[in-house]
Amino acid sequence: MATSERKRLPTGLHDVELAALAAAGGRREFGELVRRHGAVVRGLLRRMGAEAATADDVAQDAFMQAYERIAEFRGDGPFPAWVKRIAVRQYLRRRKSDALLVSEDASSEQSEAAPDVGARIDLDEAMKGLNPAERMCVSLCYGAGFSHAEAAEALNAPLGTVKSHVKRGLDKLRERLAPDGRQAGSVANG
Amino acid sequence: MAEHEFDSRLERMFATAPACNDADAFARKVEARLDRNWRVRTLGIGSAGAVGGLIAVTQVLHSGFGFRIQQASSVSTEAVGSAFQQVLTHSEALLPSGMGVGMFLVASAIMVVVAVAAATRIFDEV
Repeated sequence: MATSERKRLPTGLHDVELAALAAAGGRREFGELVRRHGAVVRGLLRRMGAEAATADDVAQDAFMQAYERIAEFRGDGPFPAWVKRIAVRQYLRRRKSDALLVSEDASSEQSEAAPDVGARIDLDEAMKGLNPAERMCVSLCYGAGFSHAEAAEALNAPLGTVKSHVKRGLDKLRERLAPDGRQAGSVANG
Repeated sequence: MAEHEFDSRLERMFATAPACNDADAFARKVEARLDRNWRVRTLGIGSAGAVGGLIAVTQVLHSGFGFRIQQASSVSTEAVGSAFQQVLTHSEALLPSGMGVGMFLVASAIMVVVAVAAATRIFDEV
């Protein structure tokens, strides 16, 4: 039964075609879009600092909202980028009360210690080395495709503050994501 | 230059979905919520329609509408009957010799059917 249902799923269709079918009421077609892009959306929310359960809740809500507004998706950009923006705004709304998001004080919070030299780390691990404000700003600008100005507006923070969080975050990531898996500073030193 | 390369690399890394073993389960949860919402909406709209219809019928019955309909119907039946009688009287004079009233009615009915078909066709074309 489950197998036959899976066979009927429109797996061969492009995102735009699936979105058009979903706009006509196709819930299975929209489910296929969720199957394809759910992980990217959930991953972004986690990289922004959301707990796994919260990220899943917000991602679900975002997809529900995306289904309601699917007629607005014209295919001008990729579908995941469109949903990611919805998810980011949902997450920020949920955390609106958290003033610590991008305050200057937040930048002084201790981030995790840098990994040992030679340890190969992925993006998720590297993001853990950023403080919450840096994670948020870098994720918005590099994960959700926000410009600095858009991020500042979404976070209700000064543009300069966002830019400095992004810069500090990038410096840390550059150090941790050295091409050969070693810290850039260590390479330079030795 | 190196900065730009790093930016591109970072964007690519962000665009790469992290491994999720429960991607299918997550999609099924969303589908279940969509189905549930759809059922609730259908039920809500159906219920609202039923309740609205019931209220409308009750209002109509309480307003003495039936009595007025009966009155209007008897008046109009008389009017239509007399008009029909007049038409028959005039048509008998117009009919060619040998053509009965029954024949005239059948011909009229066919013309009406043809007119309706033509109107439907025009409507479809438009």
